Amino acid sequence: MKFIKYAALSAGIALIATACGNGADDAANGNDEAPDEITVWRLGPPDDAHNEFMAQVGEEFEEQHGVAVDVEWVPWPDVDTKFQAAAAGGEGPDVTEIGNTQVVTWANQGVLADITDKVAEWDEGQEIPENLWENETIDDQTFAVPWLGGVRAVVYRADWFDELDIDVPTNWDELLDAAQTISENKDASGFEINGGSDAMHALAPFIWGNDGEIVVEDGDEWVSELDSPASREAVEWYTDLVTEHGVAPESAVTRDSVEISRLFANDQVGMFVDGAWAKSVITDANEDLDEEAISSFTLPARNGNSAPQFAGGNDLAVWADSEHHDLAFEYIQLLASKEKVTEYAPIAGLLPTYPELLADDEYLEDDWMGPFAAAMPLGKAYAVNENWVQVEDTVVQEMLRNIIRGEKSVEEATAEAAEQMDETLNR
Amino acid sequence: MTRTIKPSTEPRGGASTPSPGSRDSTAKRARRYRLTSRLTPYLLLGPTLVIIAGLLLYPLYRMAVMSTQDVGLREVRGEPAESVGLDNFSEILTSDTFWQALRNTFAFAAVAVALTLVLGTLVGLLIHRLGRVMSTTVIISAMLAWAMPHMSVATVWRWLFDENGGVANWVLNRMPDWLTGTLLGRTDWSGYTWFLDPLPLYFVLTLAVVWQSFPFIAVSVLAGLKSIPAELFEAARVDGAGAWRSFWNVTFPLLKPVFAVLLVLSIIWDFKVFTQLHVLAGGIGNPDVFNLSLYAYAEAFRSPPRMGLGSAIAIVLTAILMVITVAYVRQIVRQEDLR
Repeated sequence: MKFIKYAALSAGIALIATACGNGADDAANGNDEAPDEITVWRLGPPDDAHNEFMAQVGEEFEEQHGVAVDVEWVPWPDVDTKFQAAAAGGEGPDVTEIGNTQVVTWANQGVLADITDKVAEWDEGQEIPENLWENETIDDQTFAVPWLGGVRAVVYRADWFDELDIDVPTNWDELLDAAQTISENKDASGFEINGGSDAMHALAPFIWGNDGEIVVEDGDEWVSELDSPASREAVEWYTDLVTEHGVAPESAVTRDSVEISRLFANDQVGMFVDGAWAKSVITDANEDLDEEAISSFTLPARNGNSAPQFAGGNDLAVWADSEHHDLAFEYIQLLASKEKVTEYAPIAGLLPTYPELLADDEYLEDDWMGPFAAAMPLGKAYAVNENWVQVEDTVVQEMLRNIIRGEKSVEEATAEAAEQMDETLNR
Repeated sequence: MTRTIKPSTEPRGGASTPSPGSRDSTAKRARRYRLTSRLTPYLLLGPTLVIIAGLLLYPLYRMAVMSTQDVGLREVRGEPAESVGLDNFSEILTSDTFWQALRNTFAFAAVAVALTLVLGTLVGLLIHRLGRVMSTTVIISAMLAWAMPHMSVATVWRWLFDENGGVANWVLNRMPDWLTGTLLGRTDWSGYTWFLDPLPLYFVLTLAVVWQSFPFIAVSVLAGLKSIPAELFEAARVDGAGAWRSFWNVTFPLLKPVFAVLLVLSIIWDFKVFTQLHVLAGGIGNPDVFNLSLYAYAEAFRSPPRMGLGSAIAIVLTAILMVITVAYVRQIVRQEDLR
């Protein structure tokens, strides 16, 4: 009896010991040995066109390298949770898509691999312009590759514009006139504002379009400019749409662009700020809206010209815990190659990062993509700081909510938001 | 004490009635027997204790340690965490969000616990009086509400109170203006948003939570009621007691232990309600409507995570719950002793 017990015990210990040993060996030798498969995380809700494209790229990669590609989709709202769980457990993909403002956050947490040397050796990648690497570079180290760009423009009901004889606005006064005409005639929001998770991106072009700034770098510190006179004026104009002119409802402060897109599809909104991907959300919700009904124009600055837009983007990064960094970067090179980007950008409703492709008439002449493509060179970034995401998630929303619900004046709310921003960024 | 009643214990002890020759070995065996019998309970408890320690005590210990550290993802991934002493706690105590969350937590728990207990007890009393078919129907309907996943319940309530398509605003709009105007100070309900300010949001949350938790109270009270002999109620009736007096003079005193347990459980549940609030508030974007659980979660799991701060909030929540429960249970035990 006793013997059996001891035998079982030592067998158990031996098993545990070998299990640990194996793990260590794998990590050390992983890069030499090609795996059967690499895992790629894509963000967002997939549809058939996306899946088809990803499958085709996967096949091509398998032909080149003999390694299969497993693609998993992570919905945008779950990204943080999924990344955290994967990082904490040491289990993650080999390649992941990532929002460009989130790169600094996850790179600072040690989740993304430093790919500076690999990027330097990638010929095609040298054509991506310098200013698009701003979000991806931290202390001269590169952690992600800009893959596709997303700027915003105004999405509007072209059929209503025709019917009510409205011209495409070229400054803010005309924008307000157009919004009021729609509200009066259509029982809908003339211009819907955004107070949801992506509120910052809808508000930012108004602040920049009034020559204001959101945040500037001052030495080691980031300083919010939300309480500067130019920014305040823009915030006031924006919130007046609800409080003064009633061209958007008070409840708009809870809705993000996806919800607004659905309202738009249901004839409840005439104009709103969003990216080119909005079209598929809208037509999914209402198949009757066709080319004639939905169109876009570049948001004007207060007194004409185009307002700068947030240079949003979808990046590709190598997961630090991956055991196959080289292979992962090979895959990124394929997915971010000019050939694949040309094919995929129209499917994704995003824009290529290669100037050569962007200059192509296919984008600029296109009724729908043209205004987005025109705004791309005016792209601006926020603070490249690991706490920025937190600002993006809460600070502006609270400010808009307080102003629109009449709880605080524009002065108080912007001052408070600026203070919160400073505190969060320089923590 | 035992020595004085020696005669009665004497025949039992093996060692006290020695048999010649085997005296030593018998004593040894007896000692070993006594040792094993004293150890047996601990051996039987052992596995359970190990599991509890592993799954409960160790995480609690880790949480306590983390509450004094600065913990982000890097630290979770194995880098040593920097100790910050009591900084996390002082940061919480000086933050407006904490005090707002504390107010929300207490106010919600007080209202929700009271409503749940009252409603649950009333339904329990009702079922007790019903015939077999009806009582079964009511029990099953109530249990269905109880068995629903929190997530689904909260989502359905969110839809009911949706600003555009929700049935709540539709009904309120159809009610006479003078009524809604005087009662609620608002006559136009189209587009009214319930989930922005703490008060309307917690109103919906209370509905959702009470709706789902009263069945458990009702069934527990019913089980208690079944154990009270019918003669007691009969006697009370003969003495001229109505339903009200017979409840307070017969049912309540007899079921006091049941109510005590239900109260403590309800307090614990409602203090740390999380899922429903997370759904109704639409995530962690609006700090005004946090309760302590959502606040702890928001700090610990937002991006970038601050798990030290989150742990500190969780510790505070645990401490508050401990104080309330311990104080309450002690009071109950004392009252029991007096009787």
